[in-house]
Formats: sequence, structure tokens, C-alpha cells
Amino acid sequence: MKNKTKILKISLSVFLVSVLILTALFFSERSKRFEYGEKNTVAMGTILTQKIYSDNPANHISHITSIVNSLESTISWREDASPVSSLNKGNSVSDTALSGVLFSCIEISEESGGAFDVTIGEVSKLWSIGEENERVPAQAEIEAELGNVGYENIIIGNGEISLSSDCSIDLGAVGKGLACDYIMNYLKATDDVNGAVVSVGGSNVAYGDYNKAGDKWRIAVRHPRNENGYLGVISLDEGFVSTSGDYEKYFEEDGKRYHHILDANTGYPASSGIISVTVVCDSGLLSDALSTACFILGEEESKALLEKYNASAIFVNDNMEISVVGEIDFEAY
Amino acid sequence: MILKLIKEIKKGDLFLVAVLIVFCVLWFLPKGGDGNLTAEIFLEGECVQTVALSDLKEDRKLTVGGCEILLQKDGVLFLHSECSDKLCEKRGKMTNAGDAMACVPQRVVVALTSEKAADFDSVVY
Repeated sequence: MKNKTKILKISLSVFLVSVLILTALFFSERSKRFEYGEKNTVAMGTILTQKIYSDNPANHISHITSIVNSLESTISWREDASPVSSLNKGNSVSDTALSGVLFSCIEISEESGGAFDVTIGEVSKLWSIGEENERVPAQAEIEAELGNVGYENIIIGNGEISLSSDCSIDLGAVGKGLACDYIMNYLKATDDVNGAVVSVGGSNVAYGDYNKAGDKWRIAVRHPRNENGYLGVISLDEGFVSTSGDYEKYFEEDGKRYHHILDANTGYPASSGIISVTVVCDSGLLSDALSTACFILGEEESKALLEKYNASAIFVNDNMEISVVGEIDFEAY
Repeated sequence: MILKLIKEIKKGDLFLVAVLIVFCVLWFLPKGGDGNLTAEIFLEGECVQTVALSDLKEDRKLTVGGCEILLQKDGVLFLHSECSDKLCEKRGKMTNAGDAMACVPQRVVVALTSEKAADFDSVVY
């Protein structure tokens, strides 16, 4: 009997030790990441931060930087030789990729009742928010330019794009998200990238596995009133995350904040009572465009739009109240 | 039988289990580093300076590209830039590991890192 108890004691001890060691090994493996490379650079007029998990991260970082720079030369109105600049000068342009982007923008403009509109370029130039010559334009100036604004003025047909008014295209509200789409397409075509998270000026694309156990990516959401604070963290497997807020580019005059997200129906900075919207969905262009549209529309009017595109959002209003629409794995701080 | 066994557990057995638990907890803890901040400064995408902020005895100024950068124990900020928009100066002091800020016209990026893993992989803004 005594021997039997001794054997049982030894067996129990061996079992306990095995469980503890196996648990330790399991968690150790979970925290082990793949080979890793990181780079911060400037592209598309903003910070491009790449974190790539691959045996050859430098090669992919270089490719992604080229992809973003190449896209910028197509869609930036500041690049004199870009198709968008040519369009804005009154020329007809033949560019299949740009046609696709503008189709998507027109659709979101229609769905948002014209609040979101990429033909607002000339009005944006009047304000020049975030630039040396930023100012509050006269009402008459805004009204004069607003007369030319309208997504209906983008004509796409017979393989060509043209504008039917003196408006100009500004793809600033979708450019970073579009870059995220291009990056995702590249990453999916590779066979040696295990995981990646890339931020194009704060618009994020998350791809693949975070680590060998496939844990979720964690994307912190910037606090709109504390530049070193975060609202919380979004966890996701793969996808796109974009934020529009009144804190990135703005100036103050006579105690009033004038931010860079203009309502195309008024020509003035949007004033829906929202100060930050973060959108999660399965397209970079959409996440970027929807965050802008939702910021302009406000939470209630955005719900149908988000549902239509199967997107989710975190709204912050000017009382710093946070609300989540749709399904987001969000952990508030 | 199990109950009987538990009753027979001696102090030595408990000590052994405690040692094993401590060993496992230590295994789980993040290894290396105490969370001290390091500033990495990039010009044209290349890291040109890495400064351990915690090692600073006093504030330090660096000129990279057309930017004057102030390094302090608890963070970093753009003091002055030759750019026209001054968005980098308006950003103020950055204090969190995992964050980055830039003077886009001068193509200068400053990123903060820490040996202690950040709670997140990226920031949306």
C-alpha cells in the first residue's frame, strides 16, 4: 500500500512537471515571431511605416516603397505629370486604374448624399489647411468654387475620363487607403511574407499571421485630443483600418478650429459633432473613404452606409463619448 | 485516493511545485529590456542616428536634414524645420514607443522604440 502511494506520488509529480513545462513551451512558441524587418520613410507626403515578417524583409520593404511612390505619381494632383493633374487641367485621360478608383469614389459620393466628393479640390485649395497659406476664405469665394463641385461632373466612358466643369480632383481622402490596397495585393502575391502591418500615413493594412500561432494584429487608435494617447486597441486578423479626425491638420482662428475634412455640400469643415472616426473593412480605399464620409455625416447617418459596405466604425464625438457601430474587436484603454 | 494523496503532501513537495511555478512565470515574462525609449532618426528612409533617451544626461539637439530635433529623456520633438507647413513643429513632443512622426518636406522621420514590446503593432490616425 505504501509503495502504491509512493508510485502515485511520483506519477502525480511527473504529470505536474510535464504540464508546467509544456505550458511554458506553448506560450514561448506563441510569442516567437518570424524574421522581421522594419522601415520608416516618407512617401505619398506622409510617413510610411513597414513591419514585415519574412526571411527577406528588406526586399519586400523596397518593393512596397516603390509601389507607393509609383501610385503617388499617378494620383497626386501636386505631381505635374500625373494623370490626375492632367485631368484637372481640362484634358481627357485614359487610365484604367484611375477609372476604377473614380468609379468607387462616385459610388460613395452617391451613397453619402454628396457629403463625400473628390471633386472638391478647388475648395480645398482655398482653405489650404496644413499649408503655409492656410486661411478662412470669404463666403463668396467658397460659393463660387462650390458651384463647380459635384461628382456628376466626372465623366467616364469610351476608355477615357474627363471633367465637365472647372472642378478639380483631390484624391487625398482615399489615396492612403488605396496604397494599402496595392500593398495588400503585393503581399498576397508573394510566397515568403508570413505577416505584415504597413501604415501609410496612419491608414493601416494588416496581412498574414502575427506570429506562428496566428495571434491577431493589434492596431492602436490615436486619441483625438492627446497626441501621445490612445483610445484603445483594435485586434484583427487581416484587413484595413483608417481614421479621419479633426486633429491631424487644422488651424485655429478667433478660438475656432478649422480642420481639413471639408463637407462638399457646404464647402466648410464638417461639423457633425464627430471628432474622430475609425473604420475597419476589407478594402483600403473603402476604409479611407468611409472614414471621411462618416466623419462628415455623423454617427446616425453613417449607419446605413457602413452596413452597405459591411464595414464597422468607432466614433468619438465632441464630448469624448466613444461608440462602436458594427463588429470590431476593440479594447478601450 | 487523490484526497489521501493531497493529505500526504509534504512541505518539500510544495516547495518543489512553487519553484516550478516561479520558473514558468519567469519564462512567460518579456525578455530583455526595461522599456527605456530609443529614438531612431531617419533621413530619406535611412536610419542616420539612434539615441538611447534614457542615457541622456541633459537635453540634446540634433540637426538632421533641415530639421532641428530636441531629444529629451522622456520623448522627442521637432524644435525647428526649414519646411513651410511647420506641421512637424505643431506635433509637439512624442513620448510613446511604437509611434513615429515626420517632417515630410525635409523627409525626416523620428520613431520611438523600446526594448519592452509595445502593446500594439501599429497606430491608426
